[in-house]
Amino acid sequence: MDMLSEGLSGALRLLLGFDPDFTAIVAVSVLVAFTSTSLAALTAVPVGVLIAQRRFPGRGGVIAVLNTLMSLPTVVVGLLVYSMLSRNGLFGSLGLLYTRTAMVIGQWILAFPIVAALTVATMEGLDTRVHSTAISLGASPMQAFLRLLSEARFGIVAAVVAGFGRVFAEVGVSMMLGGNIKTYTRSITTAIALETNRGEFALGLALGIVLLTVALLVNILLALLKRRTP
Amino acid sequence: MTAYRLNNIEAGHNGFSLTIDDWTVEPGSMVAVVGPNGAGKTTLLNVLAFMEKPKRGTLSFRSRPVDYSSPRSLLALRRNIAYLAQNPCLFNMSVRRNIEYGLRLRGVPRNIIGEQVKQILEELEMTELEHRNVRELSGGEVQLVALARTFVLHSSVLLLDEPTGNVDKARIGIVERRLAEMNESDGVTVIFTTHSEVQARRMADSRIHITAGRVAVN
Amino acid sequence: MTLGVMVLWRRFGFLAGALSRDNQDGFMKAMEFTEKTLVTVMIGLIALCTVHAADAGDRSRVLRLATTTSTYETGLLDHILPLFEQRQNIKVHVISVGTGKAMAVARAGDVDVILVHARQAEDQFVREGYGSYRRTVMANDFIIAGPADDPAGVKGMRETGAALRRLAGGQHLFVSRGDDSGTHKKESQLWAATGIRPQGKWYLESGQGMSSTLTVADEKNAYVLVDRASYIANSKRLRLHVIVEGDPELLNVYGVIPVSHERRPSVKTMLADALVDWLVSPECQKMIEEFALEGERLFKPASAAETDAGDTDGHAE
Repeated sequence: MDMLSEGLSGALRLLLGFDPDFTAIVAVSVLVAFTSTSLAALTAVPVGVLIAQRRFPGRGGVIAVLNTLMSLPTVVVGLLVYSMLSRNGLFGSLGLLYTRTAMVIGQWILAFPIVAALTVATMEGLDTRVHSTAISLGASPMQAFLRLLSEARFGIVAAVVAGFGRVFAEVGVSMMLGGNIKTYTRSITTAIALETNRGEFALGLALGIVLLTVALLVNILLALLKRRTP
Repeated sequence: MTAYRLNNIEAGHNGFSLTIDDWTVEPGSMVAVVGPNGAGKTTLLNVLAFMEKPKRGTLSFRSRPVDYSSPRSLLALRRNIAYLAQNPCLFNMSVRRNIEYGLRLRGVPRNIIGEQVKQILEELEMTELEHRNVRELSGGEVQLVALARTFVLHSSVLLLDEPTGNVDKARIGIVERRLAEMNESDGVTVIFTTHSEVQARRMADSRIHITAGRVAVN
Repeated sequence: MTLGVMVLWRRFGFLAGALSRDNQDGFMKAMEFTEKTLVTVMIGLIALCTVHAADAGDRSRVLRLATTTSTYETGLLDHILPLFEQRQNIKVHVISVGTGKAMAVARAGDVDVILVHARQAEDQFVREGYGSYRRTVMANDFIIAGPADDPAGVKGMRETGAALRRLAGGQHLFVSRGDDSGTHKKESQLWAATGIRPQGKWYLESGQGMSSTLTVADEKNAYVLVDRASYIANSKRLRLHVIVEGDPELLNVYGVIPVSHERRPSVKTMLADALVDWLVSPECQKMIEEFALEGERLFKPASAAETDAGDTDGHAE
């Protein structure tokens, strides 16, 4: 009890006083999660749209795999990427292990299936008449396709937001690929996991508050986007 | 010059087939296509709107045979007409943006789009809907917006599949009056489907009847 | 970066497609859809570039040190490294893992230097050619900590082996790191000397760092082998007492080893050597000696550990 109340007052001091250690940790989390999510959006949205639009053999299998990968354990991704980025690994010569870039790569792999699978679901959930209606009003195939994308816009943004929510809160990849290096790869989750051991309970709580707040915002945003989808 | 000429046409898919031996639509006429559900009315309009390629036969538009091998010319043809599909779907944006859509596709300048949208909203007595989102509309209002979206194109050919199908009784008169005006004063060719013989007689100067894929021209 | 450019090309590729295939309004339509996403995309790319630039810019001025949880969690490195970083104008990236993991990471060439405490393993590391040489940095001692009421009645025993035998005999709860760390290696040696293979419900392996393991022992009222620095650093929040101490067997010596440039060409030998020189320099040794937590000094300088700890030179063997 005593520990919690002391921790809480310390956490508030950190939050309100913009403690440099604290802000550095939050900045790393935001920067890395934002970059990896942007990368996922750039790659997974087109892939999702393609899968939704095209009919090809094994398509159902691809969608099933994407859906399974949505719940891919972060430590498994961490392990796989670790084995490739280590100096012993396939891409070892790049020297990327224990860098922010490594974290971005790992988180990108985590976010990709979520964004892609949710994009597929959104596109398939669209009214089947959208395309033919656009054509009937004089749209070229490209314009009709853009119309489809535009109809799916809230769903696609929701997919990206869900991806962000996952990578922001994950710890396995950040820990294994980033190494929890102070001011460099120490993110909110790795700091909570490791720094509380050092008796930095207030810091852990303050970071936990940030994490909860972001999770709350992400969920509010998702709810709003859902309301705007037909 | 004829608006449409259909020669020895067979169209349709999934086992359904519609055949028309010879049918001509004169410019400026108002034609009603009458028949029960599933008779082939929608297939006929899809053919006339260049949305569906006939399996055989020749379709001529303004005395020129349609070239189905060129997507470019098909697109140009589609932009020459205005088509209201049956059971239309509105896009997830405001009423105003929905009505603008066809004009924007045709590259109409913004200020003209604004004027024309305003005009059509007044003509169909639906100005209060302008800024509503389509998800809030009733079935009748949806049909009205779809009609406005077609009328606003000011095409010389209007193809309407069940134009007053969902419209509130009070507004059917408004729509029919507007159609008659466009036909009479602007010389617009109107081809519409209906299963109401009464509406067909009231509106059209010629009628064709379709039963189970066979067309009888009156 | 290449990926970003490719993706960007895709974006503009379809804009260009809309422009060429249709007319001006096709372009307008494409712009309309992309204008909102494009902003996000650009910010993302800029962020990615920043991350990369920061990484690339830093990389030649970054030294990677893998070390044990015991040195890191006490805050010693935060105390002695900033001065070195400032003088050399570099950053030291500290990766805090157990001794075993630190050596594995170093063998793979993923770090430049290791600061560890497991003498036999260290010598083997140098013998195998992964380490260039080894220098003693500092020392303290291990203790066995346990509940204040000492249910096993081992308090004050001078001989660790006898104490461990009594713990095992009475099946008193004992928490092991179980993670191949330096502390775990030491514990294994001590058990091996007693001839007992610890196993059973009373022997718990936490698999975690020193501080977490202390927490587990504290919550379970168990005995635990811990280095004195970690014990002092965590003592404020623990109810565990020092139960066994003072056996020469419990000496805990820390060594620093730069990873061999011959084995792992990516290693930054110059910076690694500079760090070793700093750690054994009189100035740093003094800082280590004076480093205190809760009013207690945690480490002794290298000179105090010289009794059994000579330095090795891999090239000489």
